[in-house]
Amino acid sequence: MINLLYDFLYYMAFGQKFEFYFFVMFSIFMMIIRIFQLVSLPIVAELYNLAFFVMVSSSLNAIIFKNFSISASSSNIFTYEVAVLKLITILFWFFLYFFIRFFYFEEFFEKSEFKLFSLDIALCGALYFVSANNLLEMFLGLELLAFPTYTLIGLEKTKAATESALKYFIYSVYGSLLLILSFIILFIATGQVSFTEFLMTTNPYLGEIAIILFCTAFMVKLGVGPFYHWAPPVYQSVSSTIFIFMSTVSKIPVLVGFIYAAQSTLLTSNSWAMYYVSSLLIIGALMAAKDLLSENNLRRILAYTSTINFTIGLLGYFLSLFNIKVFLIYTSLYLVSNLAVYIWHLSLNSDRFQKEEISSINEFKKENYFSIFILNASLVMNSGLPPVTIFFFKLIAIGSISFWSTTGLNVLGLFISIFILISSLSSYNAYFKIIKSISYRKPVDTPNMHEEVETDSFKIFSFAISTTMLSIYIFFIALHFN
Amino acid sequence: MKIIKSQFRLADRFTPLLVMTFGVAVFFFTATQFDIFKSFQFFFSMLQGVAFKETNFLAAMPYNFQAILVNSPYYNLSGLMISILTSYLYFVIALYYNPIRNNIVNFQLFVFFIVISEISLYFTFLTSNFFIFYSLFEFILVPFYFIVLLWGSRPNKVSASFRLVFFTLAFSLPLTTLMAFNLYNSYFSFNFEILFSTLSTNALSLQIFFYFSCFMAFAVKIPLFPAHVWLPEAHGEAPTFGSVLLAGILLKLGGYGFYQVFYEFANVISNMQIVNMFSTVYVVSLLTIFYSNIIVFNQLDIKKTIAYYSIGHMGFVTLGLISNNQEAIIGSIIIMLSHGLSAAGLFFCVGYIYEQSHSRSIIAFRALATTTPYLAITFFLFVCANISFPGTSNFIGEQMVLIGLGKISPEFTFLPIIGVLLNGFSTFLFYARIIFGEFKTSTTFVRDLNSTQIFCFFAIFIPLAFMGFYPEIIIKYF
Repeated sequence: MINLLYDFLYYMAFGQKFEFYFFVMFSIFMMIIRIFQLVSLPIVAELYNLAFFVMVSSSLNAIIFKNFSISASSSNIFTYEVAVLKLITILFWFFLYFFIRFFYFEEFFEKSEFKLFSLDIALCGALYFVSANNLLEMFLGLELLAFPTYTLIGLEKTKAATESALKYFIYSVYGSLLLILSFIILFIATGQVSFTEFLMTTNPYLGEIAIILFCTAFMVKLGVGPFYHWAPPVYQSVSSTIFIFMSTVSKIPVLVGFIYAAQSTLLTSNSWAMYYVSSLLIIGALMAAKDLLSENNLRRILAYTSTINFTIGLLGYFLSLFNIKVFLIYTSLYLVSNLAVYIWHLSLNSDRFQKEEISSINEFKKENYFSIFILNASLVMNSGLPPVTIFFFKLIAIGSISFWSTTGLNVLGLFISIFILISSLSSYNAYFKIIKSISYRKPVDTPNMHEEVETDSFKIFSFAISTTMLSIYIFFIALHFN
Repeated sequence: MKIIKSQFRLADRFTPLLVMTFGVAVFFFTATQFDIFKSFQFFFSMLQGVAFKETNFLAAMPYNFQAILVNSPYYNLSGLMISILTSYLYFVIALYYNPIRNNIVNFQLFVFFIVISEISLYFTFLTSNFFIFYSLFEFILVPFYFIVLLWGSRPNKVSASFRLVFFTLAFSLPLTTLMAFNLYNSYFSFNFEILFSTLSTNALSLQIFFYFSCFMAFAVKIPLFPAHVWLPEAHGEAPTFGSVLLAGILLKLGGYGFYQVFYEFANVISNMQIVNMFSTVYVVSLLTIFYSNIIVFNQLDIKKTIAYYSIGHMGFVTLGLISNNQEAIIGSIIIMLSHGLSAAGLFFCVGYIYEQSHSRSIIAFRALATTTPYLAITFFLFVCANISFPGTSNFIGEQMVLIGLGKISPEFTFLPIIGVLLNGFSTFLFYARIIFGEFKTSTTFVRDLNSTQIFCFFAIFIPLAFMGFYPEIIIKYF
């Protein structure tokens, strides 16, 4: 018994069978749910639905692909870190998943089965991606994540939705093509598709090209660099819950992809690949900052600001020579604070109204101080002004950029950090635009705008508490690295 | 029913007073027990642990923070004096404002922002940590953004509040990189004294970058000539209490920062560089003085006029701080304190006129002395303080600055004296335009002051006169 427990703990920390044991536990949980299902509680039935797909994914992962191993050598380079990353991703995923399912259950009544089905497949894809042992598994996980998202975008059947779904499809296929191309080049160079070969190659030409293509593919998927153009129209056209899903949850596995890329031996401080990646990131941030100046739509603004903020986090991560703490803490804090804004937006403007233009978000009453205060506070928190927690990690990222590859002040790093600060200034501008329209503009005289929108303070309060707990947990996990 | 109403008024009247006194109590607490800043020690060490990839973040302490934050008791006289000024002005505002008579909407939010700004101002002026100073220096924009946006009176306030925030944010970008740089440099620390003492050991380019970034950030706040654009707009569009606080205290943030940087910086670097630094800042501050006092002749907005006067006075502050003399530096601190009172009084008077008549045009008012004699008298007292009339502390401050400049070389005093004369001429012209002249019917909208307002105005003026006749009360501490 004790041996079994040790085995379990060992696999929890270091093993590839982590998911398997996790989902064995989960299946026991499912058995209990099945009993509840007999009493016919609808929410518990939903849980059952979730657990079924999780079981499918885990069994796929554990049984089929472990036998179908292309290379005999499994990856040994990231053991503990990847286990922790898995934990974090799974935590984020489940948290959001349950949040969407429980709190916004009403929105799923229309075409609910299909939405839930696609979300579950996306969950399978994300877990599969995180627990991948070679590059082909990674590719399969990404595709499993991308295709349900494509269907979820196009589900609305409006003209804008189909158009943006096509846009997303083309961009994501482009990204995965780049990924496949990098794998092919690697296969030509080494004859293997394993992680170790990918990251330990010292082949200066083919290896560097493979790494660059790998990073570019994930940039396309994340929407940073000059490849962010799919994000604003897609965010604008989807429904609110799918908007939350796309802008926060589906970003996490892609960030894990960057962490994989960072283990490479070819990405050193003065390498060609590093210059390429960082310059692409900066160009993208400046382009987004320029586009952001003329935007008046809330969701489009949030898309552009997420581009800028992920750029800061990624640059800090790459140019500090892979200080994973800064990256994890910055991105997770940003995602959580972003979520606060999104959920607020959702609870105020449901899909009935579609109030996304900044000038129309003004239905706050004078009595509703609490809501004004919370939304303004979350916007200020998201913008990263000095006393806010995100600011400190932004500062560390910028400091690591200005210390790039030297022990003293680097002129190139200084210029990069000033470019980045200029782009974040434009995001401050956008956030202050929103705050201004919330707290100052008088309501427009159209009949729809005066309809009462009820805000559930309990939802927001519970969400705020749980997110802070989650972020603190991630913070302390991240402190244990190195 | 009447009794209930009066009780309600009493309660409304005393809530801000209670809140402000609470702020004063916080101030005294921080002034007596400076060890409160030790609580930041843990946080900073954790941050640095993250930055240096340390597992045990308490082990990261020896880099910077252990030696610094333990030595946190820090007795900075000018910061203490400006924070006393802060508490005094907030107290006067709490006395002055009756939420019902002055018709303040969103009264709870008003109290919230006032208290937030007050507490963060105490922390900025009393901390020994450059990082805390910088972060609150930026955070103070948020409550003032809301003050201008929510309680301003004209639609121009939107662009004004935007300028107020984004000029400071844009010009403090290099300072942000400097802060980030400090986190990684083991030579540096965030303590003011250690920072400046170790600065000379670093490279010259780094010293120049440091100086440049600090200069840009504080020159916007003071403000110096090319970066002054936000100030007349923001002071003009703000409500009365907002413009009082902006002119009285927010400009002193820049002055205090200049004091911290220049005074310590001048001891560190060599003489040749001091001459270069001196010449640039001397020219820029002279430009501000002349520009602000000449452009006033064309102004028709009474609030913007006074905003331009405050720009001119802050030019004298930089002149004093750059000259690296004991007399001039004390003089510039006295100017800061007395300008905080005199500009506050002028803004109170002008804001009172605006609240009564809802007009800001100079043309609309003639012969206010006939209808409002008390207002004319108090206004005259503050005008005298504004032109640095002997007997007010502004006079002593300006004289000490001029003496300090003359110690370097007598030629330097020639142009500032012309600036003083211009200031006096334009101020008296402005006063005569409004208060004297032919009678107009539009002036009848302005009623005279009541007893509370007279009390508040004299409460602002009495320290000015006291410091003017007995300046040793400040000078003896230096």
